[in-house]
Amino acid sequence: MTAAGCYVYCAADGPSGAPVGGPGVRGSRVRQVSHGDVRLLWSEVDAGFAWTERDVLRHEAVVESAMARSAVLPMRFGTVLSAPEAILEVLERLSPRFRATLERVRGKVEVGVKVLWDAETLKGAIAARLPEGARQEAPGAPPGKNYLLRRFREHFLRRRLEEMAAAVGEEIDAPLRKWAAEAKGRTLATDDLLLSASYLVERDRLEGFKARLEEVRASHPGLKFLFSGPWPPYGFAGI
Amino acid sequence: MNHPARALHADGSPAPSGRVTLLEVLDRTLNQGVMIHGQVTLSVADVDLIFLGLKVLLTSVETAERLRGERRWGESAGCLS
Repeated sequence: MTAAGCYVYCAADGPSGAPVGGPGVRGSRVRQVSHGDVRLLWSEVDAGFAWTERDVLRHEAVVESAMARSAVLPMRFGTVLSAPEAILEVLERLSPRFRATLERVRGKVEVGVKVLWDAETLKGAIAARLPEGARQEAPGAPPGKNYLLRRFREHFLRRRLEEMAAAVGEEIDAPLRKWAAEAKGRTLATDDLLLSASYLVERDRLEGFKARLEEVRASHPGLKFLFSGPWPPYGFAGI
Repeated sequence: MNHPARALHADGSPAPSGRVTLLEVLDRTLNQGVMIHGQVTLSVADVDLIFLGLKVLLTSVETAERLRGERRWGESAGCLS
């Protein structure tokens, strides 16, 4: 195989001799390069190929395998460096930042929380409480007036939905955030996605965090919850 | 191949939740993680060819919910492994 690039999975610390899981993307062998106590896991890949779903899963599998033994900083899928020397260069250039960030995520895992509600129904309920005149277009009114009325209503419903999402999102997020080392999230990424959040949780606090999740779920019976994890710290690996 | 991600459900229920797991994996690996910039970089997440369709899916979690069929998100207590 003509090596045209070096696919990079993650930065990790710990002993360089530690075995790494495989196979990697495109069925490749996973290798490591160390600089001090920081390693990069990588594979040779040839040029001009198309990524597949399987490669994404292999990327994740390699990162998780490393995560079982070390702190890891996962790279974004598809990170390819030009040559093995480039890996060393990146390590030399970035190892202080890798090291600091590895320290930050050490012993922690990411947990994903997504919360859904039925935005259409909510909007209907909000609209029903609007004053009569703002609820629907008047049949005989000039088109301009009806247009403005429609715009006002859309704007109003969206604003109200945002306020509700902020309030309910806070109710859900606050107790979880307290159990997490770090948290990030947003409300209303789409109308139905009330909250989409990630939490960086100490491994030994994970059981407690799960208990908080169940409490939060139980206290919001009208909402749909999706919990996922534990993940490598994808959302907290920014260096 | 086996899913690398943890079983989302303690009862080991396969298909639909596995699909959701895949969406979650894609969401993380394609949109998050460390980005290395510089001349040494050939590509970073230059994967829009095949994954364009999947990315569109990812923008809406409702899709994931639909993929999961009749199952409710929070049904099983053991979503975390």
